[in-house]
Order: sequence, then structure tokens, then C-alpha cells
Amino acid sequence: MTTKQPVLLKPFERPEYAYEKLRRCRGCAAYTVLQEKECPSCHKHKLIPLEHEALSRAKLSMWFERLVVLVLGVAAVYFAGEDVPLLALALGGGILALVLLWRVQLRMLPQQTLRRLGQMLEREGDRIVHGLMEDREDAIEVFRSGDKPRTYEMLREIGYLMRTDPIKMEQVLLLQTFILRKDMDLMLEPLLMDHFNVDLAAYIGEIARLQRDLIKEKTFRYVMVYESEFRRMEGGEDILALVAAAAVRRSRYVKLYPHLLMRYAHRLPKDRFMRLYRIIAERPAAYRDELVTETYRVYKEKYQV
Amino acid sequence: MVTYVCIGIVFLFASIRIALYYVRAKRTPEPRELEQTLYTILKQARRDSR
Ligand SMILES: [Zn+2]
Repeated sequence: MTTKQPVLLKPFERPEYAYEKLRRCRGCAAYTVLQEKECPSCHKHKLIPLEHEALSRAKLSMWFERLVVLVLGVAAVYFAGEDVPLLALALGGGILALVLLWRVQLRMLPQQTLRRLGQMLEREGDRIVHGLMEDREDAIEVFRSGDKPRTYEMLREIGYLMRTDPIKMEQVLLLQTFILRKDMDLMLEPLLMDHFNVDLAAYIGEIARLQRDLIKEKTFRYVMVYESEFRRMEGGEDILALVAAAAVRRSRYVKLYPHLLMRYAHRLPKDRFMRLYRIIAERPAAYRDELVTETYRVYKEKYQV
Repeated sequence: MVTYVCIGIVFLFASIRIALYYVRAKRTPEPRELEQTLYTILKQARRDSR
């Protein structure tokens, strides 16, 4: 086993929508998710969030429309010449059209921005993919230079959008070389893979020990699907017991994963087991019979005085 | 005469643009859909590259 190193990780900023992570270069139209100041491909300081680009495109086309109305309005006034009623009509008509258009445009700006954003995603999909690939190359470069925490931070950004098993695996492998702490900004569900992975299993165990709130439905499901693989690995039973202990924090999980709890009730630490016991004793009818029986049995055997 | 034509075009242009805004507003994608589009693009890329 390799020795683990203490590290300082920057907190991860979770955006409301994944595309908020993307930034586009005004100089060369390259995309990146890395939070660098300069563009990774042309090195200019011209990276702006994708939404800002969409907003300015929407605004630009609105300005163009207003310009058309303005030019035609001015022409109308010009050709009206000395004819005062006609002049008034041209002036009034032009201003009215401009104000109407402007008001509608203002109201439609949010929708137009989203529409532009959609267009950019569709038209520049290849560029986005290419940008993320380049980001990954950069991460590999940083890894070669020996900066593992930074590599992990980069992969975390890339992996947030590109949810592929290789990128997840690389993150898990790096995390396994760090000394993890309770106060670290860690994540679990985005790292769950489509297949069983020993390092991921070990990582799940660490999370169950350090930040059990991160263990949610998807993780329980992963653990249940690969339970036999977990059992076969070294220390796997301990991991399963830790995950079972994490399930006890909500009665909902007790209801959803009775098999897990049934098999590991006898291995739960005392406080966790007593919590399970209280949850079940409160409304035994709500839980699987076998789980209720097993919980009472363990209670009698280990804790009843 | 030219003034009438210009004003006519101004109103025609403005009303077409305004109408277009309203038509498009109905088909504006939700942020969630855009996020999904992005994930789909990246997923397809993964398949193509392998
Ligand atoms: Zn650039």
C-alpha cells in the first residue's frame, strides 16, 4: 500500500447548471472548464462564461434591429421635408416603433439568451468536446509534474461535465493517495462508475467513515448491486458495515435497503445500532419482517441487560 | 411618398421581429434541457472517440 499524503484541496464550486462551468475564449473560440485566467490554447486573457457570450450575442442582434428601425425612421423624417404633418407622422411613427420593439426586446432578453446558449451548444459541440480533451491533456501534464492535488482539482472540473469512467477512475485513484479529512470538500455520487472498482469501493468506505451524509440512494444502489464483489475484497465487509451505518441516519433508507441492514446489523457500532433499533421499535410494522426480527435478535444478544 | 414607404417598412419590420420574439419565446429551451443537451454532446463524443 502506498503512503498517503496530506493535501489541501480547494472547495468545489457547484453550479446550478453544468454549462455554467464552461468558458469560451473571445480570442480563439476555444472552450475550457479549468478555472484558469488565461486561455489554454492562445494564452490571452479573454475567457468568458458561456452565458455571458450568449447574453452579448442576444444583445448584439437586438441592437442591430434597433439600428434598422432607427435608420429607416431617420430616412422617413428626412424625406418628409417641409411638410409638417408628414414630419410629425414620420417622427411619431418612428419613435413609437422603436419604443415598442425596445420594450419587447427587454422582456425577451432572458429567453433570447437561453436560445443563443442552445444554439452555441449545438453548433460548437465539437469545439466543446475538443476543449475538454485539451483540459484533460493539461491535467495529465500537471500529474507528470507531480502536483497530484492540482491534478485532482482539474479532473474534478472536467469530470463534472464529462462523466466517463476513465475520468472517474483517475479521480478515485488520486483521492486514494490523499489523507482524506472530515472538513474536505469531497464528492461521491459523480464518481460512481458503471462497473465495480476496488479503489472506488475503498473510497466509499472512507466517505462512509468521514462524511456519511454523502452516501445517498445512488451509492446504496451501487453497493447493493456489487455486494458480492465488496465481500470478496479485502476489508470489504467493513466497508459494507460502514455503509449500513450510514443508512441508519434516515428511516427512509432503512425502509429502502432492509437487506443491507439485516446483514450488517450485528456489525454496527453501538450508537448506530441503537438508532436502528429505535427507528424500528417506533413503527415495526413499517419495515421488512426479517429486518425487524434480526434487529430484535441482535438487541437481545448484544445490548439487553 | 418615400416617407410613407419608410414608415411602412419600419412598422412591418418591427412587428415581424416582435412576433418572432413571441413565437420563439414559446420554444425557448429550459436551463435543464440545455444542461441535458450538453451532457448528450459529451456522451456522444465519448462513443465516437472509442
Ligand atoms: Zn484563446
